[in-house]
Amino acid sequence: MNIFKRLFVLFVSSIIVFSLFGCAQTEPEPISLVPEGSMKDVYGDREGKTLEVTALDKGVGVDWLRDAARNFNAGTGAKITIKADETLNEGLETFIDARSGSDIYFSFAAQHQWVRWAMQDKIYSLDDCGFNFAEAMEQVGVIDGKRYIMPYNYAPTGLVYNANYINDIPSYGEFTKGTFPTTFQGLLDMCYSVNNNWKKVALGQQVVPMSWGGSVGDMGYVFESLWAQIDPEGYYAYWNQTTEQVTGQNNKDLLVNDGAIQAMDCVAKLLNPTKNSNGNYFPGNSFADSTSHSNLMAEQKFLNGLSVFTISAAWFENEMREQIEESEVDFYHYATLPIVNAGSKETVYINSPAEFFVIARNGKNNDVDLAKAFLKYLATEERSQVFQSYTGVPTALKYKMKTDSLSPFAKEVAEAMDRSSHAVSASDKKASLSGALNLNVTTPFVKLATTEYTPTIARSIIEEIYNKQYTDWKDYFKTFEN
Amino acid sequence: MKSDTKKKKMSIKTKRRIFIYGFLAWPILHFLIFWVGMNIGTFIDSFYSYSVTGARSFVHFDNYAEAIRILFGMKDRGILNHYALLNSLSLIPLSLLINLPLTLLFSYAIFKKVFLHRFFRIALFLPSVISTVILCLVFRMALDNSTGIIVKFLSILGLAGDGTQFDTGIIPVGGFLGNDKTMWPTILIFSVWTGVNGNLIYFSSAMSRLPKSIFESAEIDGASQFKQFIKICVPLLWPTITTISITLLASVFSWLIPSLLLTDGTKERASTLGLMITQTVKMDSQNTVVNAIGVLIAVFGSILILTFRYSMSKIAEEVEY
Repeated sequence: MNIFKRLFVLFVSSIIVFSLFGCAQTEPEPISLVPEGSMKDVYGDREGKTLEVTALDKGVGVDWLRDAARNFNAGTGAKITIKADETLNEGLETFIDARSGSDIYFSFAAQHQWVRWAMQDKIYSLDDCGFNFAEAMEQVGVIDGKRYIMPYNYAPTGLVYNANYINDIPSYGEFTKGTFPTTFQGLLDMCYSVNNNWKKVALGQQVVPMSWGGSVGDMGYVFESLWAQIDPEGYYAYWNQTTEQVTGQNNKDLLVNDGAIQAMDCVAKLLNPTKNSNGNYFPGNSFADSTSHSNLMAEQKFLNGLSVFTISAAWFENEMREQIEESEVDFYHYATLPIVNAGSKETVYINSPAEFFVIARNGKNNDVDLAKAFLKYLATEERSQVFQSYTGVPTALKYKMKTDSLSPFAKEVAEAMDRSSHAVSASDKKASLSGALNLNVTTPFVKLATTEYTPTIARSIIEEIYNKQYTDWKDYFKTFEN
Repeated sequence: MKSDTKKKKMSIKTKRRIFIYGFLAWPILHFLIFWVGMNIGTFIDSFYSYSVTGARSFVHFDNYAEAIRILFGMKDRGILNHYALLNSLSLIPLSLLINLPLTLLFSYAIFKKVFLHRFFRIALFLPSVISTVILCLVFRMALDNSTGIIVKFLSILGLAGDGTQFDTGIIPVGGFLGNDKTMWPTILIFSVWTGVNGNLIYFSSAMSRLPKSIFESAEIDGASQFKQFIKICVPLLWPTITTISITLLASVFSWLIPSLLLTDGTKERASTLGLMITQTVKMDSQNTVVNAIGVLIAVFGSILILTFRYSMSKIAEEVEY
């Protein structure tokens, strides 16, 4: 009897042990391994040297970074560890201020935060790293000609549409059934057809043309893309302005101009304020409550088939991966903002600076040389390609995209990047670095969506944005100048 | 011999002191560092401003002037706005005139063992043991225009229009949490739903200590349940009511979680003093205007609480039983 008991215990124990092995997270194979010798030649022999990187585990995730660290460690002998933190952006300020912390951080932050860290000498200059950034990003992360952050995630924004619906919506005006509109009028015509001719019902309610995160900056992507497309020179003149004193509203024309007003007018038409039975206006091309939606809610509604397109970006597929896999959908495609005026070039607004790297001076290992070597490794063409294959998002560096390893969606993003101009809403000028130019348009867009459309509303909204910028200007500059 | 006893006595006295001060050392240290130290630091910093390079400069009362401009609606910078003060102040009557009386009534009903009192005790107490984060999530989902259970319920009642975007009935444009006019009242309704139950356990345990004989004799004398509640229960519980009222009053100045979670924490109409300070410090730890706001709130809050405490002590005297 005793022997049976022992055998039973042994049997159960072995099952538990095997189960634990089965459940354990296996170390994935690195995507590529540079031969040991060559890595040491390029990045130095780092045998036994340790470094800690904390990365924001949101959006693009950290798998690509872990892969890079494994490769780098294998090639140079270093011991770089990657810590994932889902709320790093919220605590980053505290970590940078602390007595000791990680050596490198990868996260996004408010623009003036990194400027302050740089001015207070809390992060190392990356000037000697010699990164080769994409043209639009050359001035992002630079103060007085010195680079302090390494923008990595080059996030092209745009529209994500449901191809099945596009094949079904009746043609109207400039919109042709089966083809996502390439002109802005075509987009408005498609919205009209969805609301008035198609009237498709999904999950018990009429499908709307567009879902958008009205409580976040989604519509800002549309406005900035359109402004940069309609008037690229005016757009860059605004962001690159050297204005420091605004007495007499001397920089008003840089914002209150035809390009910005036309872009705002396009947004107003896209929102299509419509009167309801109570006499109140709601965004007629979207959900009545979309002004309270987050970007995730908007994307989820799109995946549920409740809208024809959503305002999103290259990160859509990665951000919604679980839902996409769960519902096994493949109808989503990427498109840039359609052309407003014939002859204009397709323009993609890059959400920047999105996630970036900084080397903290309070790093626990205080090995800035190794930290810079790792960032240089991340700046290689190979790592940019690996990042894009993991996340579907390009990097901010100049490199040749390798589209064969990308998903169809990521491939569409890559192709769109190749053929379009890229707009970035930041520069190395004080007006931009101080935060005085911040185009906070979330609240004005809610007003635009819930107020009757008139041909003059776009101008009044732009003037309102300028007046706010004018009132707050001195506050931003006061902090920057003292 | 005498001096030996004295020596021995002194040594016991010293030991006792060490014992007592040893126990008190931790809370005293905690108070000195995290209350005195922090508040002195906040107060001193409220007279300075920091530049982007970290340089500190004395700005006299500039931060206070700016704080007053913000709190009284003469200036706003996003989350730093006058709605924060208005909203926080609106929590005072809500807490004291709605939440507290309701909690007291529910506790009394349980104390009087009304029908299904055991069920009510669990049902009423349950929301206070569930994380506010989950409650906020549930409430937010329930208000979703497409799938929310509250919206569906309103549809059944015929209050949500014909189901199209053109006729949404009483549902405002933007939804209850997205419309400027309904955002804060919706948050207040949430706070009633979750706030009623938090103090139930204190009132229940205080009521369980009330002498049953007083209620029995009142019943023999023909006093109604309501009269027993007003004339016996409330006066006997007055010290507990005062204590809980003070904690409720003090908590409105740091109240922020529902606003943060039901909206995205940046909506000016849903701002509270606690949220305004937290969000500003999170984004910009060197913004010393919030220090001035903090000091002003502390002064105003202290005056309010002390006045309230004094008034409460004058309304009814403490009864021993």
